[in-house]
Amino acid sequence: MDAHHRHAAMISTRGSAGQATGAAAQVTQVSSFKESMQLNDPSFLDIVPEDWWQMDDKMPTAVMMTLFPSVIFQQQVNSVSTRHIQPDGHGAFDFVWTHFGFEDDTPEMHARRLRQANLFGPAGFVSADDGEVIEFSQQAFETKPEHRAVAELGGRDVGETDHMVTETLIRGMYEYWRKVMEA
Amino acid sequence: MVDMNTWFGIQQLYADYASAVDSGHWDLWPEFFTEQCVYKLQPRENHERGFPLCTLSLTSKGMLKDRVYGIKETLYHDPYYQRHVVGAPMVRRVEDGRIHAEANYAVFRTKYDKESTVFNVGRYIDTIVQTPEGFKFAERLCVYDSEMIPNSIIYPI
Repeated sequence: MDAHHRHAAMISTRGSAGQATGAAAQVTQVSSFKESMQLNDPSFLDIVPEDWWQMDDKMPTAVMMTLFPSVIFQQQVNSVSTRHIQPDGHGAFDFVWTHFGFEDDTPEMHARRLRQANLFGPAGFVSADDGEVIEFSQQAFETKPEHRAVAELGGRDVGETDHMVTETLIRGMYEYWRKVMEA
Repeated sequence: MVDMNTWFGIQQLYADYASAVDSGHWDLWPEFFTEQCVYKLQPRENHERGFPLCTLSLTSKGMLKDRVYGIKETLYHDPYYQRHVVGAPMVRRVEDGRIHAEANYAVFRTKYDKESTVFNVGRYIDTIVQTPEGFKFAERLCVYDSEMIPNSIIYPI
């Protein structure tokens, strides 16, 4: 996170099923996590590490960079894209996905990025339910307009964490949003 | 271009496909395809401008089965009914026993407590082959007109 908690990066490294430790092990407790699942066609996950992923001594497989107030630059394995939130009046927004590659990609890498695009976007294996869950959340908030919603996963404060089972970045973003709007 | 039996078979394939993907029995869907099949869902703009990116691009029957698993087990979503209305197929040409056909489609979505709405509208561009199990899709490209997707597409078009 930056000093104002506006911008952040969610950094993770793909692990082996069921071998997570510490707080990250909680991920294996969610109902959509299927430990024994095997793909019929493994080419969805034909992942080839790229030099530019290197970060000191680490090689993260996913980095989601959130830029205040409305854009995410994401590298998820070999798929690179942006998600842009474009407000469209009260209670609605457009969610614009842009996928890209690099000019010097080999034909194989070009095809790989396109194939891994199946995981993202409005029908993606990984991200289609993001939009669904946001819609559920909005519906729930609206049922009691006189109430306020609090995202409490991982506590009520804002801070760096070494795992992603937390809404700390959302709290940080809204903390800054509120400061700006109430100034 | 094709004889009456073939024409009848194509008609039946389109009708059976629509019936299957509206039934909620997702395991029926991959069986309309050959092993080395292609199923793509792509916005019209990308298709017409020759851009390769698809909303979904599945290139084997195994991938379709993986999608079915996703629908049933991992894609957390608000369930909905879908209803396909598919126009009469047009056979464009037949080459080496591969039938190239197209049909317009409209898919309506109904959430259980809401009215029915237009969900996805476009054109199927297909390659159909005869197999011992009857006609199957070697390719089904769903080219939809509007890039504005109402949140997400979970089920097969």
